Amino acid sequence: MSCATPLVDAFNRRISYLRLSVTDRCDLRCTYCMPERMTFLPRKEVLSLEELHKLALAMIDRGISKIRLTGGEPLVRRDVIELVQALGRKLGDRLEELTLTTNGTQLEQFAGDLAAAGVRRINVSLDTMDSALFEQLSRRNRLAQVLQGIAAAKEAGLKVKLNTVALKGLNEGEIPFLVEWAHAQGHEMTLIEVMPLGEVEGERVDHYLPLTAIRDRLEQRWTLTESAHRSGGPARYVDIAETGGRLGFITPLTNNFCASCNRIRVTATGELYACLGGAEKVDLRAALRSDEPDANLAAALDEAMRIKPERHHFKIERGEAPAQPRHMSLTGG
Amino acid sequence: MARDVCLLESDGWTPAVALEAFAAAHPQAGGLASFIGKVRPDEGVEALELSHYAPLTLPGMEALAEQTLARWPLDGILIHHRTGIMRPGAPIVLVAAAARHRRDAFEAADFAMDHLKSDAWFWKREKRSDGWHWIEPRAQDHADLERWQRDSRRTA
Amino acid sequence: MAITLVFLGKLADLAGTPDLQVAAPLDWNGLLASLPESLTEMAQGERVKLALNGSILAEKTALSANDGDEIALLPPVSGG
Repeated sequence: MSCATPLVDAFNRRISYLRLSVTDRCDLRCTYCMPERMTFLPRKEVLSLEELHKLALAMIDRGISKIRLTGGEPLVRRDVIELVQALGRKLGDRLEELTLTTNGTQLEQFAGDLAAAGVRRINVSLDTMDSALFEQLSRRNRLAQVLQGIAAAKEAGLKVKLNTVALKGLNEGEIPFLVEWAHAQGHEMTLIEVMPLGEVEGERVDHYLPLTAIRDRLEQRWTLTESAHRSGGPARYVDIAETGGRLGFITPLTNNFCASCNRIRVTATGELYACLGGAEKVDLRAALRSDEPDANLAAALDEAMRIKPERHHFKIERGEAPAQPRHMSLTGG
Repeated sequence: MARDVCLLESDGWTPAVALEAFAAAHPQAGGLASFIGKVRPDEGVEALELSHYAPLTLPGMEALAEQTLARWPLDGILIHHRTGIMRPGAPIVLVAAAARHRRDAFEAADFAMDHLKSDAWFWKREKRSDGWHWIEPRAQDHADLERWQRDSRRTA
Repeated sequence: MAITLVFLGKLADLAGTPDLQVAAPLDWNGLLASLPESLTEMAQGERVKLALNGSILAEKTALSANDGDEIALLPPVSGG
């Protein structure tokens, strides 16, 4: 197999990380992600598992060395484990890491399979450990299932990182306890500022909580030291002496991290968004379903590199339309 | 998922937080029984140090959890144990069991605690004004273990 | 490479060190000979257990260790 030109954009950023959504469906309805009545994509518009596989292989050939499966909720896609297994076979052969982000509800069922396929680390979204708040935020009563899923992942030997969205007035007070619990369990955790994607119920700005506020609160309780650790992503880390764990902060609105971006996102319908916060995209599905898929795919990827913007323009203001009309559920975070 | 076993090397740990998470993971249980062991606030004791042996300690705790799960019909078992230096009054160990019936929850927690005291790979020493002193196991701890064997012979 | 001896609990105090490197191979008699005197009698007693690479030896006298192995001497436990 020849090594095709690696993906490098107009700002000389080497693109090595693909975030691939395998579905827009989810078994939860987190209020900041999608509305209760969501219009889901018709099945024929969604890439088949074979198409997803072919796309991923083409990407690996262009130098993508890390693939994260996302959604919606990736584990609700039927037979997705087959895709995980197929991609897992590329590990060590130009693919260095295969991972996924999940809400955890299906982990008890799939943790073992994921580990067997070569997944080593996963991200689990968890905003609260309070059942009532969980139901309020996700509109589903599934906290116990999620916690058991996290335990199953740990038992299967998967390293878990919890992703927690900071929501003012909702989980704000609970965050220190979440951090403590996560670290006691041996999990890492990352706190995320709420991002303005998609029209959802309620005003997102009401729940916007700058992470500096949380950091101050944590510093009253614990000793935080800046960590030199870099994951190649937007998170900045601190080490917490008392819990022995590491805490990441992702602050898209207050800290611009675009200069070191290494990633692209593909939706379940094969649209490649060059930037989470931008509208620039190319249609990979059209290429895949054309008469010359390989050539057209290569051309589409080159185009994506040309149009990738230098930075995002996220901001949240009351009454303002979201920066991007598409929901977070289309690409995952 | 039935088993929540952690060996805690840092001291930013509150049993209440772990218990709440455990309860949230087992909402169908009829009851939860728990025990917290603390560093006895003893005049003259400035600190307590627990040491462990990595190849044995956590695997031993996990095996104990499995044993407990095998012996009683439980929804879940939790064993969290600190290692390292602690102050008087600090929590050392948390054991909790969730079950349909309270008798199972109580007995399982009791069984796990007895085995953590006498069978788990930890060593304790306390700091007094004249230095560190190793703590020897008490005869009571071993007698405690035996009652679980007598009981199982009775039901056999 | 060598064999690592690890002393747990009060044995570390008695040995004057938490661990020791000794030459391979090592059997039971070899172990006793390489132990500091303060420990030799204790090591033979019933209350001190032996682990080879993280597995408890049912029969201490059957010890047979090679390059890169780790032997732990474990005194009576006190946990909880």
